[in-house]
Amino acid sequence: MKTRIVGCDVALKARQYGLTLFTLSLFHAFAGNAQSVVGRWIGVYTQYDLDQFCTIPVYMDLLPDTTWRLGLLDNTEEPKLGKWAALPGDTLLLGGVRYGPGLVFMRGDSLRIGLASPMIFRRFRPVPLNANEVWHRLAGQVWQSDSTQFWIQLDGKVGVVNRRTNVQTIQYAQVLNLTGSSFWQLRGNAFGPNKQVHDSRQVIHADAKTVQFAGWNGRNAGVETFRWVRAMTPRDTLRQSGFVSCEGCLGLGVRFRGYHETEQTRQLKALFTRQYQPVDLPGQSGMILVSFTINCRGDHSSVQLRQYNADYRVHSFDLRIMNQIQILCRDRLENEWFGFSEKELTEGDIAVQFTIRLLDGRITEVY
Amino acid sequence: MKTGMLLLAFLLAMPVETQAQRGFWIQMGQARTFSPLDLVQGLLFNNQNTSLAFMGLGLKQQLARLDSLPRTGKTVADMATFATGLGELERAVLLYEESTRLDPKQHYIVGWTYLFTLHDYPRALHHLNAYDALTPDFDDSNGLYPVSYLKAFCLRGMGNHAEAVREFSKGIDSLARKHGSEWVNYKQYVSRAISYLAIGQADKALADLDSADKNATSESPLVLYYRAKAYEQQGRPTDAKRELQDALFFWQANRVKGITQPEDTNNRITEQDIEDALKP
Repeated sequence: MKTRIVGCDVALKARQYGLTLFTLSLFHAFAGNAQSVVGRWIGVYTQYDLDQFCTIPVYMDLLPDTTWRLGLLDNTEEPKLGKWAALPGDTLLLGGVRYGPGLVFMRGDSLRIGLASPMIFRRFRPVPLNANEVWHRLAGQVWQSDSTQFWIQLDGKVGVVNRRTNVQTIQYAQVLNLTGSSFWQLRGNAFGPNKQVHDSRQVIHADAKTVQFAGWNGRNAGVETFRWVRAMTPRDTLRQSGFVSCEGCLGLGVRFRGYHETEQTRQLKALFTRQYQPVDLPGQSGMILVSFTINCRGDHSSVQLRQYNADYRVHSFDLRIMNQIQILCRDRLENEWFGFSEKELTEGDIAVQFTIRLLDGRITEVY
Repeated sequence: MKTGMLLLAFLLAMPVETQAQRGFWIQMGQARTFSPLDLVQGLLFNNQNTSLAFMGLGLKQQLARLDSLPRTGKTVADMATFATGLGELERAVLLYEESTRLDPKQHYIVGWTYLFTLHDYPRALHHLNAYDALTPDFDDSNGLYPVSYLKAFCLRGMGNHAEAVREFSKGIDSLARKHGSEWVNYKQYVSRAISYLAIGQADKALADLDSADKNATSESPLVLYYRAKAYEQQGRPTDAKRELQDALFFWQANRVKGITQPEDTNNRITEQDIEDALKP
């Protein structure tokens, strides 16, 4: 019974903060009503693909004097300034960018801009909370939501633990002050607190046992409650599980690199053609798609192998083939051979893909 | 990367003063730097675009959007392209085949994809033949290369160089007859020369490479490299070595000039290939 009451409470708060789940049909086209958009809007998320969402850590002001301002919640950059106007014909002008009919939708306190990679904003509702006090509640403690545990060190380093898989990711937390309200942000990775923000939400309640956030938690927009678990102890060590991507979601900084048109193509072909021992297996034909990511430190993700037969059906090649391919990928691609210069690596993550074609157990092409 | 590239296009289209030089962005091997606020502004800029409203940035989103439209050859072929991008080859291939049933003109793009994306030469040839058969008396072109040129690459990929020479010749000869040999793209001559070399006809390869040399817009390490191969086949090692040394010199000179190399993605050689060939 208690759970249901809490659930209702959260749902009410979610509506209050303009965070009902969004669908096209629920939105109303912006109807040129200037008053309806005046105010401060907080970025919630943008959608890049059906299953790819990123938090947008900004505020956007549409002031009554037609000033438009776009700033980062952490205020680490000078805000962008411009003009805004509601124009006839269901058109909105924001900072010199014109949004025609059908591109800006409002529903209650939610604003959606665009359809290609829609950006969701919610109307800012001040909740006076001292950012320092909120931080002191959070820091040095272990908190958990329904899906995630946060091991928050005093220095801001956080172990974000998926409660289902127990995978731990290292990030950095801070609580920001925006005109008297507090915002929680998680950024960076195991290599340090960089500019990539993963989680950016307004703190709407904080006491010794619960902290509530409004915004996008990576899966849903709404109000989420963190419950206190225990204090951190000196024995609690934060440890990154597995591969760390250097680039965050919004940055889209991953460069997808096949081995096309480069010296690496040649080296790759040489590696497989010299090291692979052909096996005479009629019918073992098709292709293996190889993919992995190299991060800015030169670390690599595990190599993924997708196998298709000659008719492009998902397939499992004979172990005499796959054992060799896996050993080459594991021992050569993962451990000693990347073929990328130090300069290329330090510029960001590199996603590598290439294809091995096989005919009757022999490699015919690597591309 | 695809999404990154698209967003980059919008960022680059923005006024220069909005592009702070922080953060990183890469395209064509060049680093561009953008701050988080620039990225958000880039998204806002992107979202004004109504034509993109129906395209979107994500492959899955595009697939879903196309799937909701009436099925035409074009939409189904586009779906297949996105499925290929997602690595869903089983689905992609079914869609490619469906697109050609709905609209036989799709045989061209399907053939192209089998050839250049999937390197499946027999299937590519099947589709390009089907496309070519739509207008039997005309060597169709996509505006860049005639279909016979693509068919020749299929045959070359299948190891049938004699047939490849015949197909390369269709495109070269018809263009030379109509407009003069100087209007034939030098890469077509190089392509045919490679097949001549594969069937041991070095003299014909050298003739093609001479034509290619005349038509190339800058010094071509590609032409020089294959000329060296032809000399080697003729038992002229000194001439071959000279051509390779020139190839290496011009490769390095072109790099300084900023000329894109390798110059032909269909006949790809690298600096290391030239250096390896120079080794005793």
